[in-house]
Amino acid sequence: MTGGTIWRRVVLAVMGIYIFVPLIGVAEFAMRMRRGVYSFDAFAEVFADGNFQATFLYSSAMAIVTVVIGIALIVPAAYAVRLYAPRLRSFVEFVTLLPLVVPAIVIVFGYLRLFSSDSFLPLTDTETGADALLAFGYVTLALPYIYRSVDAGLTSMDVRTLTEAAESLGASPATIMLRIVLPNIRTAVLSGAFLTAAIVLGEFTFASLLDRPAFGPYMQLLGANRAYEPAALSLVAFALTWGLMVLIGAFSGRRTGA
Amino acid sequence: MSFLTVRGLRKAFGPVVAVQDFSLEAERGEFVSLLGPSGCGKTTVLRMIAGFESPSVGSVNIDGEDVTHLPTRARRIGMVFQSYALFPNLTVEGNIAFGLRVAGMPRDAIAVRVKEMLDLIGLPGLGARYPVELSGGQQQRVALARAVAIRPRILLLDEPLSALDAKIRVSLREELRSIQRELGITAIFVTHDQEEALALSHRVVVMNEGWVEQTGTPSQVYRTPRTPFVATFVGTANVLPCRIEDPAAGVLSFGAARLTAGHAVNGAPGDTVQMALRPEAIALGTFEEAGNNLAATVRDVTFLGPVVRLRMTLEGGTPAIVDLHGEGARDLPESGAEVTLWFRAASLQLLDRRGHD
Repeated sequence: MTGGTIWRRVVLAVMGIYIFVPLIGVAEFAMRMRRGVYSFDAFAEVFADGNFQATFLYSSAMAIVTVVIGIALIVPAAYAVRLYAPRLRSFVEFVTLLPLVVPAIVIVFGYLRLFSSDSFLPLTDTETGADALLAFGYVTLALPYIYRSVDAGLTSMDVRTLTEAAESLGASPATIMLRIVLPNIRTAVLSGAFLTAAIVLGEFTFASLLDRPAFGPYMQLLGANRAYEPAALSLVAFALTWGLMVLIGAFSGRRTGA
Repeated sequence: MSFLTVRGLRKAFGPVVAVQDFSLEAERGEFVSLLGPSGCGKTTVLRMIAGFESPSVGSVNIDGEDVTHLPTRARRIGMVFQSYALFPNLTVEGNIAFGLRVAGMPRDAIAVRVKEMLDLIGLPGLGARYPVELSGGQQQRVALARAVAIRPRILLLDEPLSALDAKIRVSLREELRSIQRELGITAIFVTHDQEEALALSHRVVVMNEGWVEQTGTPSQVYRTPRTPFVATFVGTANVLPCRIEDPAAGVLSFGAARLTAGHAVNGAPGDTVQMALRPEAIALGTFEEAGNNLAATVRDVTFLGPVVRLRMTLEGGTPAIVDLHGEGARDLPESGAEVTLWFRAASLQLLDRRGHD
């Protein structure tokens, strides 16, 4: 066995320990709910809890809305910047990174100040308004992830020439976007969507301060009041995230020749 | 009015003027090449005809319709790019059918046209492949099929052979020529390769620094270059500074040598003019029949396969190149030898001092 092979195995072993030992520990703890024997009682409790289902469904719906709005806003914007204003690229990239710099709590207080009862647009007064505000907030949070994924996808294709080729064949801007640009950056869009969904599913600050029945605040509440269920819940959340990743892998692995 | 009429095109990018004053008339079915070095404005002209760039001044008219301000998609042109620009997410058939689908052609008719195009480019069995599974030459054939499938009014080709290796380039060049002639489509071809332009075109437009230097048939451009730039860019040429002795008789002097051009020379006695002389038009030795002789010193002899190239120095230190073929390349002088060069009067071409129209 060569030195390189040993080194690779050591690195893999350390990585495996780093990732799996905590998971095994959490799983072991979650299964100790029934005294003296291992059981799935904590998992059963979690799944049986109506709040789990409601908050998970709410956050999933929010994730879908966020991904749809995010892609609808960011893909055309990133495409337009590349095509018509390449000099603005670094500026746009800086703007999209701002949500990583400005804490979520600052953004949400800004929202509350702008859209509360006494403002010109009192979105927080209604359920729908608050949901919309939460979705817009999530889009802001997702900006760096979607933009960077999409931009990386656009880098991998010759956007200008493909656009011009399609135009010369009579295609309208909408046709170019739907039939040329989006299919060619599908993997990038999906990875941006995946990251967004993962963030939205676990997000706490926005949902809590806007008082929305989301999965993040539910997890926090459960963690503060129960012993074994939070561990079971974190494993469930982890499995869901991995499930999403597998789905994306399956979609992006479809043969396109690209 | 010609099928394609381009009048007075000028394009400035900020302070940089890419195209100065470009005009062209092309007939239906004609193959016109825009030839010039990088940055001469040839691609910008093509992009203005395509509608990818708006001219600062001037107009583009196709088949009687002013398209200057029409978007590209409404111009009914076909375009082939240097980088092929095939859509990676679509198969070969999908690529060829793209423009037809956009135009709303019925599915059956699309299938027929796609098959026709695949036969035309000689790739009938590759319809289901993706671009990444094709060679460069095959990709460019597909790009050509995609462009002509929509039956465009004009086919625009932006250095389509430049990314290919030499052998494929020549074979695809022949194919391109036969497809264009077969379809009778008007084609504007941009290239920096003079051999390509000469081999493919009915007419060649030679451009330099945004200006048109000369427009003519390949033979005119090569045999009677109008400017020093055309003489040296299209092939190789010796440019000799001569003094006019008798303008009407075309008599000139080059140092102590008296030369005769095959035509009258514009200018007054004593004026200095530049004359072009192709390396292959020169022979070694003195001949009894009419012609011109020049004394030269051989500096370097290079064997180039079918051609032997001799670098010489003429009187006054003017450098010159002589290309010898066949029998003429048998008894070669050594470096440093003093020789006499001979060339016909008709081989000496007067160059225009202005440089462009």
